Amino acid sequence: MHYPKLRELKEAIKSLLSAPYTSRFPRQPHKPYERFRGRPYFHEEDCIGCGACFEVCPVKAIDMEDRVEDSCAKRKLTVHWDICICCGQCQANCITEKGIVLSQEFDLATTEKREDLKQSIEKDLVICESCGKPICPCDQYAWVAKKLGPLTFSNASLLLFYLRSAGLAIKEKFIPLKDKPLNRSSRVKILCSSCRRQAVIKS
Amino acid sequence: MSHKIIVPIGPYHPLQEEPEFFQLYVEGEKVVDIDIIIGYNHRGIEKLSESKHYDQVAFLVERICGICSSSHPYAYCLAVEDLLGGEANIVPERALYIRTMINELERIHSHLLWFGLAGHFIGYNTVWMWAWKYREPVLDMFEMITGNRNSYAMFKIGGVRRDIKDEDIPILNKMLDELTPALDLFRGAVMDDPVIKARLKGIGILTKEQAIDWCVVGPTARASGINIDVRRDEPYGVFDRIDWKVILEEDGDIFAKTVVRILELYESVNIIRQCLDKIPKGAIDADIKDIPAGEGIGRVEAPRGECFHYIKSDGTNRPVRHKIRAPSYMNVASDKLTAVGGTISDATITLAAVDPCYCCTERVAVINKGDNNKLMNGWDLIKLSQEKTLKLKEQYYGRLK
Repeated sequence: MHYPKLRELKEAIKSLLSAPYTSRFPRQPHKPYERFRGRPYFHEEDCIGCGACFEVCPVKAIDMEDRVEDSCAKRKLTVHWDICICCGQCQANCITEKGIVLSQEFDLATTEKREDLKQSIEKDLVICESCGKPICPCDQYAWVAKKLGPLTFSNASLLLFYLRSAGLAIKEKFIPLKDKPLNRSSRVKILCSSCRRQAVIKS
Repeated sequence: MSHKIIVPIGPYHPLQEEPEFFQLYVEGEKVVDIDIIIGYNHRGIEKLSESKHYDQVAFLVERICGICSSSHPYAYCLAVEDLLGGEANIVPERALYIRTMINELERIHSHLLWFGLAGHFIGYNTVWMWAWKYREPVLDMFEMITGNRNSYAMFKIGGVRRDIKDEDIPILNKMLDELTPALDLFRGAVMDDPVIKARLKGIGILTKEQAIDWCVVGPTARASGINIDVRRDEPYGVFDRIDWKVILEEDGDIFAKTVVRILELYESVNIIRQCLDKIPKGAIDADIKDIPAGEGIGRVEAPRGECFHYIKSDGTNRPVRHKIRAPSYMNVASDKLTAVGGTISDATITLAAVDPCYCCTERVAVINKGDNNKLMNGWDLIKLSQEKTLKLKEQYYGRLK
């Protein structure tokens, strides 16, 4: 009976002399641990727009939209932080490993609308010169060409893209020739996989 | 003739952290019957998991319950690994140790959370604050290892997603050292305090026979003297290579349940220490590409008891059938025995003693019709009152005529 009373007294004195356990949060900022998974951010220079994050996201927090208009073709990748569960799958599956990175930001409070909690980046698309459909982002083509090294010369589309971006081939104005049938000369064009197959067979 | 009163608790009640509905039938102070109505939290997770990839389902089942957020993915991974050929044959050694540690850390934080809530229910708010204060370092350990305090995103089929850094191991050991005095404090507080003893001893007794009949699992069963524990009976992780023991109590009352949970905390700390000592170096993931056709089961000892997952695969990248049975589903039913016969003031702690987790429990929603009992919501009550006014008006004006 006496023992608990003594312990309580001891605890009371101890807590009287010690500082409060809680912290004054907004005034005294909280620093999470080094490996904390916060909201993800796209990094413009490292992201190649391949859309791997869009494929693996378990909650579909990342949107991918391809837009082909007369003058430009763009791919828009958007991460919605209000849906995101910060699982880190996008970062783990990013092929450049730095394209989308989880930050340390834990605070998602906002005075704006919930729908505004997002970040999007746009990437230029390479377009098939026969059918006019998007093939993949320019950055991804450049990344693949860089990774393949000399093997780039084995693929006409990749080689042509590489030469054009290096300024070694003429940059033609893109006009999709939808009605024109594929012939032997169309093999030296930037083509999507199905058009290339047809061109190879027909020539 | 006795006068029976129905005391409804819930479905949305400040006492409860989740929606559930109890109807206590009370005669005077005594509870004579209880109805447990669940189904307010059904989210269709089993169906949803049939529309996701095997890799993505791990994140989905993690969100069945915020407190058991490693037991469910673990049981799911065990189920898939069962159809691939067994956890021990596939998963690398280091990943097994990490999985075991996460599972035990979760037990510590869950038992501390229950302990705090139990203290709150019996009016010991100091216990509540202190238990939750010492739960914080455990959550910090989670943040250090997995990157989040909750929903760890750690489990994947064939391994774990994140490795433990070597320089973190001494820090984790130090945190465990700091946790032990706190556990001693709690053990002292419960074992020595005469008021807690008077409040919990002999209340809500579930005898061994009743416990077997009602198929309770986990600490609820172990407090009634049933010697079951999935970790020992069907070892997963590295539980078969580690020295630990199953805690048993014979009484079956709430005090026994509390003691079982407190002593399990010590065992969990012991297991994590051994894991940190023995953890080998090597890979953490056995890169699994294809899931063949077949079916598998996974059982994990969650903090509340046995958590069961069943997976049927047809060789595609999505499961055909995913069945989940969470421990609270078995334990909550035992309230029907424990709460009846006690007083209404003991009802809250009796209902809370099984550590109910309704998010886990609700797999199927059943709407029961054709019952004579009528549940009334606020609008029904207003209508009733208006009808009464009408009746009174008729009487009054009738008399005037």
